[in-house]
This record gives sequence, C-alpha cells and structure tokens, in this order.
Amino acid sequence: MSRHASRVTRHGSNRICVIEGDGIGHEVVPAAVEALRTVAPDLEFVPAEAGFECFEKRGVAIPEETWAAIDASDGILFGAISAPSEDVPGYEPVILTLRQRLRLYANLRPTVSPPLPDLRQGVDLLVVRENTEGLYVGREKSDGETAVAERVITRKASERIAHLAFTLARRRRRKVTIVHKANVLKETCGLFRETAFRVAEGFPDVEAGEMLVDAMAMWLAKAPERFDVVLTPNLFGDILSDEASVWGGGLGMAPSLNLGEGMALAEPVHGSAPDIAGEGVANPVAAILSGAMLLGIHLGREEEAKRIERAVWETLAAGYHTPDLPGEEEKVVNTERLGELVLARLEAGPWG
Amino acid sequence: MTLAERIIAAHAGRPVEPGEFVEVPVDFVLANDITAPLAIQAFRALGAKRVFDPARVALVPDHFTPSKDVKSAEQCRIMREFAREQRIAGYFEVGRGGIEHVLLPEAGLVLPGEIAVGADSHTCTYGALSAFATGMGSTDIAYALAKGKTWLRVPKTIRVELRGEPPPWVMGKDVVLHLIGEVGVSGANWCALEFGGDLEGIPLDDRLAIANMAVEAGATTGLFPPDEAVLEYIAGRARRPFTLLFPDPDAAYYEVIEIDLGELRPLVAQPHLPENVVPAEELGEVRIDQVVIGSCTGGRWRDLLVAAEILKGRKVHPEVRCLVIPGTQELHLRAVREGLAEVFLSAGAVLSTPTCGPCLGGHMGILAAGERAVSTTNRNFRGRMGHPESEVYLASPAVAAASAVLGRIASPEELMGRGKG
Repeated sequence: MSRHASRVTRHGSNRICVIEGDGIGHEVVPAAVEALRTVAPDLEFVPAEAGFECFEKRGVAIPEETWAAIDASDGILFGAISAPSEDVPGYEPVILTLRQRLRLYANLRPTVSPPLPDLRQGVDLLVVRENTEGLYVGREKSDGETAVAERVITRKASERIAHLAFTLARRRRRKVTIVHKANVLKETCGLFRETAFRVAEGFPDVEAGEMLVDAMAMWLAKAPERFDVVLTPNLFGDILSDEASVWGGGLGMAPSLNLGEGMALAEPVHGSAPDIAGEGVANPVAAILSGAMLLGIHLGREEEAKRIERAVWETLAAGYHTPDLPGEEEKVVNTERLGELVLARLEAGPWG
Repeated sequence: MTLAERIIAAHAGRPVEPGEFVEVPVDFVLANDITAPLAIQAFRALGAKRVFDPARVALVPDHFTPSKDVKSAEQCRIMREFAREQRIAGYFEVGRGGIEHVLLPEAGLVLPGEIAVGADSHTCTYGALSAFATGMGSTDIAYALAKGKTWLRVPKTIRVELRGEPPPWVMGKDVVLHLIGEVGVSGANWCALEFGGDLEGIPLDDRLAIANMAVEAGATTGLFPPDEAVLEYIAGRARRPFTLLFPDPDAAYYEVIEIDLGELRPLVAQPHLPENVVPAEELGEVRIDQVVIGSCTGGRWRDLLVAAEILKGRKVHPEVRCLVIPGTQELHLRAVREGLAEVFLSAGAVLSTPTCGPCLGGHMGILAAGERAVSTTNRNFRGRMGHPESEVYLASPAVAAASAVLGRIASPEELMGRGKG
C-alpha cells in the first residue's frame, strides 16, 4: 500500500521510457527530456514508439519492443496520441491500454496559478482521481430503449486512492476535500466516502473535508484557492480536473501523472494538436511539468523536480511565452526557444 | 565581496581580498593565430603533452586570416596542427568561425561565474556574460593550457553605477568611451570594473562592447552581474552548466563612478589614445578617408543593424572607403539573409569575411601616411591601423556609419534626428 509515492529504483539509476507519440508530442517531449537530464544527469532515457503514427507505419499501436522498454523502465514520459476520427479496425486506444495493463490507478492533475498576466493568482490544488473504476469499467448495455451503465466502486480501490491523496497532502498544505454524491448515490459514493474518511483517521495531521460534486463544481469556479488536495472517484475527477485547469492557464500548461504500484506515466493533458503539429509553436510547459511530476512524485526526487518547476515559473515570469498564452507580443517564442530558456535557468542553478 | 572577488573566491574555495595572490582553476583558455604559436612553443618547453581539457580550449584563427601572407599562413598551420593533435573542439576554421571575442560567447563557450583566460588583451569581453575574464601573455597561457590553472592578483573593484537610459543614438561604445575619458587609459590599472545600476536599457551586444574596452582603461576585467538579458543570450548556447554569482549588497569598492546615461552624447576618441574623448558633434570639420565597422568591439549584430539603419538608402561619401566586417560567419550569413548585406553593398561599402585585420593594422584596410579613419574598434594608438602618421578616431557604429555618409566625423543625429525612426 505504501509503495506508491516513494522512490523506485530497479537499476543503479532511474530509467525512463520516453514515448513521444503523435503530433506535437514530438515537439514538446524533447524539452521535457532535456529538463530532466539537466537536473538529474544520472537518469537514463529509453525512446519507444506508440500511437497512431506507429500504428499506420507498423500496424500496431503499442509494439512489443515498447512493452519491453516499459518493463525495463521505472517510469514513462508520454507525449500525446492522435485518436483517429473514424473507427480503425485493430487500433487500440493507447493511453487506456497503458493505464489498464500497467494498473495505473491514480490520475494526478495539479493546477497552480502561473505568473501570467490577467490570470487569477493563489490557486494551488491537486485533483487526485481514482482511475480504474466508477462509471469507466466499460459495463454498459442497451436494448435500444434503455441504456444502462454500471458504476463500480470497491473498498479496495477507494482505500488505495484515498491513501495516496492523504499521503500527498502531507507534502502540501495538509488538506483533503473528499468529493462525492453520497446523498443520491448512497451505495457507490457512500462506500467511497466512508472508505476515504476511514483512511483519513490514519492521517490525523491532515484536515479531511467533504463536498458534494455539484457544490464542488461551483466552488472550484468561485473560490479555487480554498482547495488543496481534491479526492474524487473517476468521472467526477475527469470533469473537475478540466474545470480546474482553467486557473492554470489552459491545456498547454496542464501536466498529469498516472500512478500505479512501482510504475507511473507522466503525460501533458493536451492532445496531439494536429492543427499546429509541425509548426514548432506548441507550449512545452505541460510536458516539462509532467516530467517534473514523474521525478518528484513517482521517483521521490522532490528537490530536482522543484528546480524544474521553479525554472519554468521564472521563465514565464520573465514574460516568455508560446502563442497560446497571454503576454507581450515581443516575448512570444516557439517551443524550442521556450525549452532553451527554461534549460538556461536550470543550467544556471539558483539565482544568487 | 564584489563580483570579481565572488568569482575568484568560488574558484579558490575560500574568501579572497583585493591585492592577494591566489591560484585558481580556469574554466576556459583561448589563444589566436598570433599568440597561440608562442603559447604552443612554451607548452612544449614545459614538457606538457596534453592540454588540461580539450573541451575547454579555443584556438581561433582571426587576426591575420584568411592568411594574408606566408608568415601568417605558417602561424595558422602551427595552431591548426596543435588543435588536431590535441583534439581541441574549439578550433574554428576560417569560414566557420570569426573573431574570437564575438565568436566564443556566440558559441556558448564562456559562461557566467567562470574564469576565462586568453592570450589576447580583449579577453575581458566575457565580463559582459559575468565571467571573470582577462588577457595574459602567451607563456602564462601555455601554463594554463597545460595545468588548467593560473595565478591571479585579486583586483580592487571600481563600481560603475549606470543611471537612466541612453538616448536613441548613444550605444555601449559611447558609455565605455565616456568612462575611459573620465578615468584615463591607466585609471583602472590592477582594478576590475563592475558595472551595475540600470542595465535593462543596455542590450547585451552593447555590454559586450563595454566590457571589451575595460582594458583600455587599464582594467584587468570589466564585469556585469548576470541578469535576464544574459540568461536569454545564453539560452540555447551554453555547452555546460554554470553558476550565477552576484556582488554582495555591502561589497567594499575601491571607488564608485556614476554615469548618467541620459546625458551621454555620441562620442569619439581622438588620436592617439582612447581617453581623448569628445562628443562627435563638437569636432567641427574633420575629413576622413576610411571607416571601419567591425572587430571584437563593434562587429556584433546590433552594431551591424544600427549601421545598416543609417546606411540604408544612402551612399558612402565619394572620398571615403567604408569597410563592414561582421564578427562571425554566423553574423555574416544573417546579414545576407536579413538584407543587411544588400544595404551595405548598395551603399558602396566593402563587406568582408570576419577578421581582426584592420584593427591592428594587419590587413584588409591599412591606412597610408596622413590618412584618417573612423573605426568601431578599440585602440587608436599611433600607427595602429597602418602608417605611423595615420590617425584613428574610435567611435560607435552609429557615428562611424554617419561619418561614412558625410565624409567627415559626424553625429548620427545629424542624419537621423534625435529620436529613433
């Protein structure tokens, strides 16, 4: 139970499997790799293929070598995947397959107010979303007139995600908000809520509160500063984390970490963005911060992860930004340049 | 501690005080086609076999290159063969390099917080990137090449407090000429100049010109603290990690000089010393024969850009030869790509491959007896650009370009007005 959120080392050094994926994944992931390499020179990077481009080229979305590379790694740095607009026979949804097969049970989505003009300051929250069950177990049926989806909540999965949320809260402001709809969904949400509060008893130093999901949606829009760790079942977290990301400067700024036992996959929330792919203007911040989450939360190397976050924040505070972000016209830079500017700060070490 | 003391202390591993002698490891060593052959000879005489670190050495053919005669070709050969033998990464062949002090910052080879020593007096240029950098003789450089260390006398520090913002046609060159005019060519002997205050309005290329001429006030080096402009310049270039060091707020300075940037005028240094500084507009009718826009002082991108802005749509005066020499191959190519080359050539200027050439009377624009030049270079000693009876006026690229058009020494404001177009 406590293996998560602690340092994993299968080899002398940490090995990271790098999957750029499709589209702008090829553009933003290199910036993240360079940032990780600079703060943690001992890391080993193993490139691997997966995604729709890979499927078109080789007829398989996740080739065997990629699974082998993952097996030999301590974590995955992932770019983005293109989903074909039509159903393509034989193409499996890559990220879902990885999440399932690697048992990545938690989805972590932080939102921090970035130093950008016209953005609300003071938000610093982390949505901890259960990622294996709830309405997403794929048990749906329909007779044409009535469609039914089963919502599965287990004590085991609820306990695991709650334990993670409270553990992570100890490294933050020690406050967990349990989100549910137990007033209506008495059994499923009831079990989630009850289990979470039981776990909370083991963390007397962490303040445990609760909020109905509809109220949560409102407060997240109204007073996002109130929240620290937000613990949710699968569907609620899916929705609320997107809502919260507005305070973080949008999709180009939103990192995530999918966490399992001894394995994690870091992934920017944005997609492969075929509309801007190849232009070199994608925002690499989400990918770089995802890399930092992999380093800090999964590999337990918090100092190094903080250095990356600080460098990103300082670069943005100095005004440099990709076209998706607000700011001065003359400080608009492309993907590569933003990466270079972050890297220069990392190479420079701390100011003063 | 001052910035110079901080950097030296970080290398010495203990606090230091002005006046004391310390042995320090060096982060970077450089020499050129004039000084390297001597250094190589001394290196052999030391019995040394390998340089201390081939990744931290640069050998740059730039002074008499492309080789102007057999003797200079032989000098280059000695250096080239040594570079190959020692597998020195920082050897930049003609056509792929440029003037050392423009080239090495551009190549990300000298970084903040470092100590760099070079067998060239204008090594102090790197102070603009917050490196403690100073010129030395070839034998000192031979020792540094072999051992990766050197000895230094910790200099006293003169703080130069810059205030306000320079007017449109006043450049870094004017700032440093003003300073040299104030303190004199030996006024900063055994001192480090530390620039501070309102640095935001001084572009990095201008800071490089300022640090470059610290030695013309006699200073060991001229240093700027690292800031956003430095980091932006280094981003994408740095070849290794570096450290940002800053002067203590309560550092003890030997002297503090304040310069009100807003009061500065476009200046020139009259023959035959860089300290003979007067505003260009006060000179009256001084006819000229040649203009040189280039060198490790005035051959960077902003220098070319400002010169092109003035020369655009104008012609070099019929009685003047104007030489434009971009500092590096990269800048030359950029000048071609961004249309500056056409501006210079249509104006009737010569556009040359990078070389130190005329600055030290080497080649590529030597003055005859009685001839007079305005030059963006750093020294106007008697005979520096040719005949002992020739004269060199030092100035910014803006003054040089305006003078090229008017055929006499002139302030750019005369052509362009006081505002910025």
